[in-house]
Amino acid sequence: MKFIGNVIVALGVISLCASCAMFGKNKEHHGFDARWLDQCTAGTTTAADVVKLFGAPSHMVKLSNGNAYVYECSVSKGMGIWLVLLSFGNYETQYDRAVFFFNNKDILTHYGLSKHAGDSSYGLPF
Amino acid sequence: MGFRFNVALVFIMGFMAGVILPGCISYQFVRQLRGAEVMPPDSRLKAGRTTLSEVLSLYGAPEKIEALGDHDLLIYERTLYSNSGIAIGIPLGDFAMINPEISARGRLGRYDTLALFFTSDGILREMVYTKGSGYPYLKTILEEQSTSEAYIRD
Repeated sequence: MKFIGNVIVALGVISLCASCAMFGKNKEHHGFDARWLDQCTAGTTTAADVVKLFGAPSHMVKLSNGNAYVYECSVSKGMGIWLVLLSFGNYETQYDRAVFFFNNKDILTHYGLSKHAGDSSYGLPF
Repeated sequence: MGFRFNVALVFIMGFMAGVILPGCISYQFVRQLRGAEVMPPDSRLKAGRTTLSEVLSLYGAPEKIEALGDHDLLIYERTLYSNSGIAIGIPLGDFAMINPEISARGRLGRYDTLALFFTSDGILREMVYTKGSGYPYLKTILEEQSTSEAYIRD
């Protein structure tokens, strides 16, 4: 009787634990280093200099008084948990971005940098 | 002894629930987050005075850049999608080739957005901030949109 009870308990635990979890990571990589910005100076650096340092931009935008070159890479992390009746998922994407603004003569006027790709994290959705 | 019996009964019910219910009832919740937190504009941003350089040093690179005629628009944005669904069904597939099921699913996208308009000289002209992620999930997704209306302004 005790053996049957233990079997029932074990089966109950196994069925309640009939769950699985998933982890995943995606990366849209564009290799640029924030330290390269030290070599950029507004008023003197040209668009050609930036392209030589950073490579081809992820995209370009035509502005009212020049152009903007955007460099972007992202890291996404996902996590899913399937329990017996419940399933939860969380997917987070964060970006590293560098933006360079050029005037009509392709001279750098402003630039900005955001580095958040490293902040992407696994977690639960609440 | 009675205690043992109750424990066994609970686990039998748990086992039956584990075997039967996954085909009957399920609930899922998935959250998708894109982008970093967008800080609301503070006293450091002043229309007519703040420059593009100052904004870039405060907020970093924007998510989107648009040209709007003689001025430019920078958008800082974080997107939060919440998906949830509940399904109730009777798994008869092994016996009757049918699986009657009723389910309800919803996806809500909420945006925290800071839009900054600049003159062609790089001076902040106007700013707009919206914190969409503050909207409550259930209330927002269950709320009916008002019926379509058209306004004509002479």
